[in-house]
Amino acid sequence: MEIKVAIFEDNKILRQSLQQLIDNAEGMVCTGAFGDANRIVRNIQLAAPDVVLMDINMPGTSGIEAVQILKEKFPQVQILMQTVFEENDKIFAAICSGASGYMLKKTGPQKMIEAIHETYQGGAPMTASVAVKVLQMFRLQSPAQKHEFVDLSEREKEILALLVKGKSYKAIASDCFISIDTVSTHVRHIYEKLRVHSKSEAVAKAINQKLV
Amino acid sequence: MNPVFVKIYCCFFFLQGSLYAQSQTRWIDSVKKAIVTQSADTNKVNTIISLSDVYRFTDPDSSLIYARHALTLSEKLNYNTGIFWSMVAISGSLYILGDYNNELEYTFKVVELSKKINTPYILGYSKGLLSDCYYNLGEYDTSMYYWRQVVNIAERSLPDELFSVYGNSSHIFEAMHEYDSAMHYVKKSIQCMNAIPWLNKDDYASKWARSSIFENLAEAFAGKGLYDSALFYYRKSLASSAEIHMDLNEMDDYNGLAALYKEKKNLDSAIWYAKKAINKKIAKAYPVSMLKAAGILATSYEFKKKPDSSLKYFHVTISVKDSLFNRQKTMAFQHLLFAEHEKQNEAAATTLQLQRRYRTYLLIVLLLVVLGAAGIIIKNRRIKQMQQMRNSIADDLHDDIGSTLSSISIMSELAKIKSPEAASLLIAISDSTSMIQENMSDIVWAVNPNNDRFENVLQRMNLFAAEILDAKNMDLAFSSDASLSACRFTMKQRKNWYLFFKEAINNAAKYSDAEKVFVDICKKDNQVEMRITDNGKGFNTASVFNGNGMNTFKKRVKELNARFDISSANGEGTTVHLCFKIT
Repeated sequence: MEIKVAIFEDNKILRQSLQQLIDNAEGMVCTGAFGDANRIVRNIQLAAPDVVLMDINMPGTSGIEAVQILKEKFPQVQILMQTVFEENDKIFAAICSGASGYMLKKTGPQKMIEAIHETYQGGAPMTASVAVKVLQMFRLQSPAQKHEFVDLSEREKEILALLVKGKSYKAIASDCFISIDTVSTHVRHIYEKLRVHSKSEAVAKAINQKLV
Repeated sequence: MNPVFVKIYCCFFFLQGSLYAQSQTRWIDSVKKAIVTQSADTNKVNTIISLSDVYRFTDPDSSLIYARHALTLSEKLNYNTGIFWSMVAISGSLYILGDYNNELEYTFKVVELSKKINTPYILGYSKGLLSDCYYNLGEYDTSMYYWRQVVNIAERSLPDELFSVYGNSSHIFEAMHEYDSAMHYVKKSIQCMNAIPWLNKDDYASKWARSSIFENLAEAFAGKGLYDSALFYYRKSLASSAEIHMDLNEMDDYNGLAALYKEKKNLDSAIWYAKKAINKKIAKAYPVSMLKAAGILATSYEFKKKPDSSLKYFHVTISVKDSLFNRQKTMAFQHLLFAEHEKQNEAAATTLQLQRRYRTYLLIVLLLVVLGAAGIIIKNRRIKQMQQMRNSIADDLHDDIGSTLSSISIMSELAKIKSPEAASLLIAISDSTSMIQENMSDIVWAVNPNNDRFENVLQRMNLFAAEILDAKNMDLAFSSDASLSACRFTMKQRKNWYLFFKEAINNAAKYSDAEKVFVDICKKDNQVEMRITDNGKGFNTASVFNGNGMNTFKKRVKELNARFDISSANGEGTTVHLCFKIT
């Protein structure tokens, strides 16, 4: 079965190139390519993708907002963010919103295809800079909110620490005597906890501000 | 009435400045000149008080002004002794001006202050002054009460003053018609005087003492009706007074003699002495005595049936009385006070004006500061806005170019599949594209001010090295000092250092065939040291050092103002060492 991919990218040339690249790749098909995320729910209903390639900077609904909508309405869809910017804040925000991973646009075409495959299989890329932010966020969480306290396992902390040092998944796998897939699974779990964590924080914030 | 205190006071003054009798005007002039130049200290206060004393009898108004001036100055200086003598001088001037009520008021202040200063002399002096005041107001019992306090103080600690204390009591007793007591104290006074060596010489003080005491004695005899003895002592007093030009005493002596002759019905002699008294120059400044003389003259002429002359001196009496007590005098005094007040107001107004001017200056300065601050804030905000605009333009451009470059590299990848014969060309295109992408990314990163912390630089280095070496199956050991993370870099340093690092890592990845690459970054003092070591095949440094590959290194090193060296040999790995200063 082919992986169905939907593209959200405001640069027309890149959108078309990506479409062609995906259509040409083995085991992949592009079921939709859109210039913005303003009608994302309908677009997704039409395209019914397994993986969404999402640009962060788009006119109208931003990529990050789009991720939030997608994760709510179509939780089964995996999202791969793509951006030219290496600003950690935006990438981190996207991950907290529910993106499975991200890649930079300077990444070569073959790697892009690989990344789509990985994402589909539940892989989760994480770089050192994002790993630092994840650690910070878990460290800052106040123990007072115990009922919603989400903590990382020892193994996850170990992997994060190695990621902060700049180790690749491969290096981590060999250091920890596990497979690369297991490293990926751990990172995915970290992302999920991050999502729960940031979500619970959002809920707490909403309660505090008497919005709920 | 006899001005006891004035005499005590004169004594004080004359003993201080015996020049008075000889060259009064010259002294006044020099003192006046001195006051102008003198700094406002205690000496100046004393000088002004002396000046007030000099004017006391000739120009009591000026005397009062000087005394008040001295008081203000002493108060400013917190100079209690000065305040004391200034108030004594004010009270003396008020006495001469016939303002007995205000005189009493100031005397109370003097007494109050004397308790603070608390020396026997000052205490005794103030009590004596009070006694004099009540004497002048006709309250002889109260006067006597205070005089007894003075006696107590003097007997305990001021033996040298006893003679004058005893002597002055005679006036009070005479006023109370207790002539025996008066006589008793005058005799005691004479005993005391004889016991003091410095009062038995042929000098001013001794003559003054004799003049006063003989007068007191004469008055006591007169009171007891012993006219011959009284005449005798009046004459003795007169002789001493005349010798030292003690006009006040002279006037009193003449008056005493005139009164005696009047009593004895020797009207011609009475008139002669009274005229002597009234014609004294100082008479105008000593109205009480003048009044007495005029009174004697008026009654004497009346007895001689000379109504014209009698009337004339009656008029003098009335006018002197008027000048002493009438409203005009009070008004003149009030006017003086008013003028004084006006002067103070003027000074206050000047101060106020000055204050206002300074306030205006302050306001102007404040306004300028506020305007300046506002200007800077507005300018900063504008710079920020400009920067934001530039950033957003740069972001858009970056996004657009980055996306387009990405599509070029995708398209050349697709083209490779479709036309394999153009593969080499297409590979070149995609390589160039990715190089441009990489460079652009580096520049954007280096320019972003958020990245000027060491942490960010280290992160990016680590990430880059991990990615590049991972692709070549090389291990990376990246270590850095924790103390480094707080350091800051300039944009230039950040860019050059990172590009140097990239070059070194790229070289290691491309040429070394190493299994492991070590990156070690540490801080020594204010220098950053970086060592990139691999365990690869190494190379002959001499053959490569001048080659093209070194140019990138050299350029970065020059811009960093750094030192660097490469040590390597065939088969022994390579170490690149860089060292540069940070501020």
